[in-house]
Amino acid sequence: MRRLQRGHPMGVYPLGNALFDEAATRRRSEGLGDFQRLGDERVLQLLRSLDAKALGRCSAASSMLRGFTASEELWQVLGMALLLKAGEGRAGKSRDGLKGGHQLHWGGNSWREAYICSMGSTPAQGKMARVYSDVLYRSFYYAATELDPAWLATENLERVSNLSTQDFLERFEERSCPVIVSGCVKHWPALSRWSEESLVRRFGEIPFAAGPVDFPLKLFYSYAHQNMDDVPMFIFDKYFATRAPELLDDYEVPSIFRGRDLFNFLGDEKRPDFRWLLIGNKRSGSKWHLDPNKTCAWNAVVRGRKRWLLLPPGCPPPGVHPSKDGAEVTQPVSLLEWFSNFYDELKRHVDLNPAWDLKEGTCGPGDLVFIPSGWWHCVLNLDDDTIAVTQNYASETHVSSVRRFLSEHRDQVSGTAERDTLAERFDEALTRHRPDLLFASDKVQKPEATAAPAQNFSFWDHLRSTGKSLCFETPEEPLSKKQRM
Amino acid sequence: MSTLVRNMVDDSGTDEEIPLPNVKTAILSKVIDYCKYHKDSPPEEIQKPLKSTNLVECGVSEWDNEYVNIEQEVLFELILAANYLDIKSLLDLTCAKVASMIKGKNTEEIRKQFNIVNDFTPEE
Repeated sequence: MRRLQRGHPMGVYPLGNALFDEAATRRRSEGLGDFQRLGDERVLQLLRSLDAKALGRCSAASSMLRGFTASEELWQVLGMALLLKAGEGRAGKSRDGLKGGHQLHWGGNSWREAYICSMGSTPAQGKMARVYSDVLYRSFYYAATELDPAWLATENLERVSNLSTQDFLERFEERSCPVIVSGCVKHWPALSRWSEESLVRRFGEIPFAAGPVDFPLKLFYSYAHQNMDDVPMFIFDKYFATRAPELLDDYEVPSIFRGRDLFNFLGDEKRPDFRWLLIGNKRSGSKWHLDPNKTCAWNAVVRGRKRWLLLPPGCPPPGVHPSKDGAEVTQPVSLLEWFSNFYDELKRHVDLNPAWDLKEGTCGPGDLVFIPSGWWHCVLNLDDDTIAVTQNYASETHVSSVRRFLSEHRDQVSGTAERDTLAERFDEALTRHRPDLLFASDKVQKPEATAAPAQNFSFWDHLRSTGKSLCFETPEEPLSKKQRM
Repeated sequence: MSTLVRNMVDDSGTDEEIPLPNVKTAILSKVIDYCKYHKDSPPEEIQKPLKSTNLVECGVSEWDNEYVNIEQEVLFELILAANYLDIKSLLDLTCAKVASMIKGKNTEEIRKQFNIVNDFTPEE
């Protein structure tokens, strides 16, 4: 990551810098030719349809096109296609009948370098002419920008060391109150057994899920230590119990949660996904979201640290826009982009509105965080090799909301192939095991925090509230006083 | 089909005139042809990266392939119009067409086709 602080390796700079470079306009119009009028976003869109060979030929056409074709997102797609192919090969279902073929090797510091090396070539090195583009610079900026210590300063998430199930229910689950429990997992063997070194030794060749692709663990760590991603990939695997069953011996569901997942009644085959192994380096993490199916969740850090932000149901933060039906959430591409642009605004809003119960806290090894049903949350890994395990459960406390969600939002039900019928199957299972719950309403004592009802922060409000001045500056070349705008 | 137009109609209703200052008449007429054809039959997603320079082999229908068989100038105008009007399938199609014109060419041919100047120094 140090490499990034010296500036974009392919010579890309923010667009405003073009004002100080006399040759910039000519170089842009000559270097892009007819493509210039399409705008940078469309040029990138064109390039997304090209394979590596065609990208290579474009990159040789002009320095502008070299800057564009070097865009990491293009090569990440190609690299991930290699991983997908390897996965199909392993499953014996190679679609186009290609035996073997190229494997992804992580050589170098970026998807582009890795792909080129994997094809047996060497990536071009040497001095790069300057390319000015905000569209190209943006993902680099968020890959390189430092974490502001102010984002990590507040700790108002309540902490308890240990407590009985009854206590936990009364003080937290039934009050829809997030909490960090620091004493309930410290006996886990995982705390001493799980680390990059030992996991790679035991499971290095086993593929684990990272978004849409599977990464062999050893390859994943190579990627994680050396990449330029603004949205670093991380392992988030729900199949780990079958892929690496020995891991199940290293942890157990804490007693305050044991046996309380109503989805257990559906049986292993038919229940929604419920447990995930999480491995990521610093700066990786999850953007703002709601957990599926109105479940509650617990997340225990085994190694490293996670930074948590949580907001009550009905209170998505500025910069995060759920659609009317809640099915889609629009927000900045990377979590760090959200922090850079909206964290301060959220804090200002929270200062003025005590009903916006923002919880912030950092979890270290042995800390478990409880996320009540319906709470908005985002998570940022603060250390390399941050490892955690998390499980979701349908709680008795919220059974009525769960049943209503499964029945009224069937297209948003997730984690199971038969989403349309989950409502009926769940009711059937409850009828057999807990018929009393069919008539229960949620036990939550505190009314759902319906603060200022889902306030829409408009872009205009955001612009007015920042009070920031505009300044063009790159990390290695702070502008002289005369040049500063 | 146009998200821009749909949003305007949602906001102001169908009696109001919808101003589209960024689209020339001839281009808008061509866009309307596309929308009329695809009104009830949304096109297939085009696989990326393109498998071949022949769009039909990439999953594009014959009609769509013929539709984008036009002068480069008009094609680029269509891209800008589809972007402005926010018609995703038309944007995908027109971009795929341009991409198919890049694919299969060597560097010098790419420069010629799109009026790009080679500005590398000999050492680069």
